[in-house]
Amino acid sequence: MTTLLSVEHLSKVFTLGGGLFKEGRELVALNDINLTVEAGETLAIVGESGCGKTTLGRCIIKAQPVSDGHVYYHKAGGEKVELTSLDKKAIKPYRRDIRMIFQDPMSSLNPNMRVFDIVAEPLRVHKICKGRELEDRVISTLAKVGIPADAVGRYPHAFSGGQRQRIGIARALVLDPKLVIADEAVSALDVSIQAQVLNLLDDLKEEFGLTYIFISHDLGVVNYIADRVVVMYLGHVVENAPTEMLFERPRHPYTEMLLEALPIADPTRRKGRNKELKGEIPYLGNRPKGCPFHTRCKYAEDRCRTEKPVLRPIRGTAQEAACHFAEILELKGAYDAPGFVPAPTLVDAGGLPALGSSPRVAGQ
Amino acid sequence: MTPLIPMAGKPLLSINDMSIVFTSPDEPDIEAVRQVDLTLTPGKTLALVGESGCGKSVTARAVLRLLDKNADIRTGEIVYEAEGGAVDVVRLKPDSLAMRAIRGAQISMIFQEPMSSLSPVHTIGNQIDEIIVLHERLTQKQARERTVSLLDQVGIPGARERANAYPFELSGGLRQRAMIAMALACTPKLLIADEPTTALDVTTQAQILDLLRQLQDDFGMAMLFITHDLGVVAEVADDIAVMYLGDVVEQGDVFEVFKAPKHPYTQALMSSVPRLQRKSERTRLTPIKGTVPSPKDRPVGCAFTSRCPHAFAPCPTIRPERTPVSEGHVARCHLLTHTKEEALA
Repeated sequence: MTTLLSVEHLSKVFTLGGGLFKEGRELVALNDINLTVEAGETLAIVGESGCGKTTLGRCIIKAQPVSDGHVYYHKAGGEKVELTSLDKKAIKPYRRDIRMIFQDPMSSLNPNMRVFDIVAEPLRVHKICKGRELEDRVISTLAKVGIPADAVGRYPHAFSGGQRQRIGIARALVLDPKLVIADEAVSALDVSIQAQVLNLLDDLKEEFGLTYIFISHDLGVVNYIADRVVVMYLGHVVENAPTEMLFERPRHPYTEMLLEALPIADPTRRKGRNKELKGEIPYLGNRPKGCPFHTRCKYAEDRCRTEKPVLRPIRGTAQEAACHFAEILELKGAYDAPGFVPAPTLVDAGGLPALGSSPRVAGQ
Repeated sequence: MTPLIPMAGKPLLSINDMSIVFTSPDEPDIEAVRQVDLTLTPGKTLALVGESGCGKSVTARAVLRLLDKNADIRTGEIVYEAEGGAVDVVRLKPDSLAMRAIRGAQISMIFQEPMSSLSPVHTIGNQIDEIIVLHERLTQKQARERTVSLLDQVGIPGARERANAYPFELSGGLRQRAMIAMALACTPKLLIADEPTTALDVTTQAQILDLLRQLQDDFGMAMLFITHDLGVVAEVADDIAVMYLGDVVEQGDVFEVFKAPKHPYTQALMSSVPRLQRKSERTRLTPIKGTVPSPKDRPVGCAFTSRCPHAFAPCPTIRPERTPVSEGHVARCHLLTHTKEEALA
């Protein structure tokens, strides 16, 4: 595999308040982010609200200027372009290759434009084609995402949430991009529609040879769609690992906490009460010293309170984690062990009927 | 702590054959809820599941008679077993004294978005005091004592000081905890939770679910838990009711329904959620084809006909009966009453 995009030491600082004479307060939204995206993979960025995952996505295509660091895009010929140093005009051709799908399909489509024009706009802006050719291209792209040709004259309000998200996808794909950044692309959708869109993203990836950066807070969806997962906490990457390894044995306590908190759609795997989930994400402007996660970490020791761990490869695995004790800790994953049988105490405690012979096959 | 209400199999609230119609001066009536039957028992949690627009929130609001003026409960009854005997909530006027004695005191509700359902200009302490003083003969001071102990019970650190905080000063998780404290202020017998964790992050959501479970053990109340997230259902529910376009299509014990869903909609819903599996075991999702039709295009028969892979002759015209599948597990589907040959014909 070849690298398509690399992010090196990226930081983003927002300045709050301040005035003519008063210094504003600084809010570090992204702190020294390093990651690479390989061509053809689906890289998921996960984390809770406020962890900087959306900011990272936006910084990659320079929808927001970065404060420090570099983003490199590797062109087909192997040439490396630094996107962060380009000005507005120079970056335009790369915006053809890197496209974005937004979270809320209602607010990301212009209500005053017909669907045809929404999808045709990128082609017009980049002066790729016009007339008959443009028409054909828009209609065939819309057909690929399942919007029929007779609906192209309608306005966004006439479509359901799932259809609107498909229009957003068509707008991203009409330029034949290499990399698509999907920012919570299925979060606002109902489960049955979410499944349709996930399958669609899967098919399109195959058909167009796309690479995805899939930003999401839903680990169930991430496990389904991603090849690799980057876990963020308070503007830091705390773990970067292939999906299966991460869900099998996470290497950072925060990842374990996220997996622990994830509700699984199977009552036989009910988790019950958990005293270890504690605290909430601290305010970004109030980031703890040392390891950003130590205030909520049940394994924290003195070293964590003073010394900030860096993201480093864990020997013997393809995982990277920012934890002093990544090698030592035996963290719990989310997959059930082979031959998993629910604890009898759980069944007794809830006064629930005893289960049949095959408790694992719930809802199949 | 011993449960305040003895655990009993006797229903606390039962909704029978309820329909709710929204009227509008210049559009035809919309029947948002066509047929809902639900039974709630003390100490148990019933999860009401469905996609957006299926009528689950409207059903919950109907129990408290909090519906808008243009909503009309056309048929059915909501029987609440109050201390003085059974009451049909549908027959009470929404603003009558009898209804107000029930609402907030005996049946209370947790709303989805704590930021928009708490008053922004009152402290959370004052908002909770208000309910207590309104429903019980207590002085302001006694009410505040109760408020502080409630806030403490729902896990708000520094409860006495936090009682003087305004909602905007609290994080999403703490706000939802304050909302829960408010709902529990008069030790209700039934708690309705309308998507209480949807707006929260997963780790906060897990904490709130834990809290609700623990409070249910302590207070022994019945809970109607509305959600669209099957993961949350599997985590908290004793029973599950699945709604589709205004109809309850299946209801039963949560273990049984997840193990062997009988209605095609329930089956389809379960297979459209990504399972937490290793790559080798992973299968492609099977989404439900099409989209939910609008209630005015709903067929006379089964509402799911237009998207059902098994639909056959009687589905669009005849409404399926409530068919018992096993003890306490019912589904409304013609496949359960017709033989395979008929369905294939």
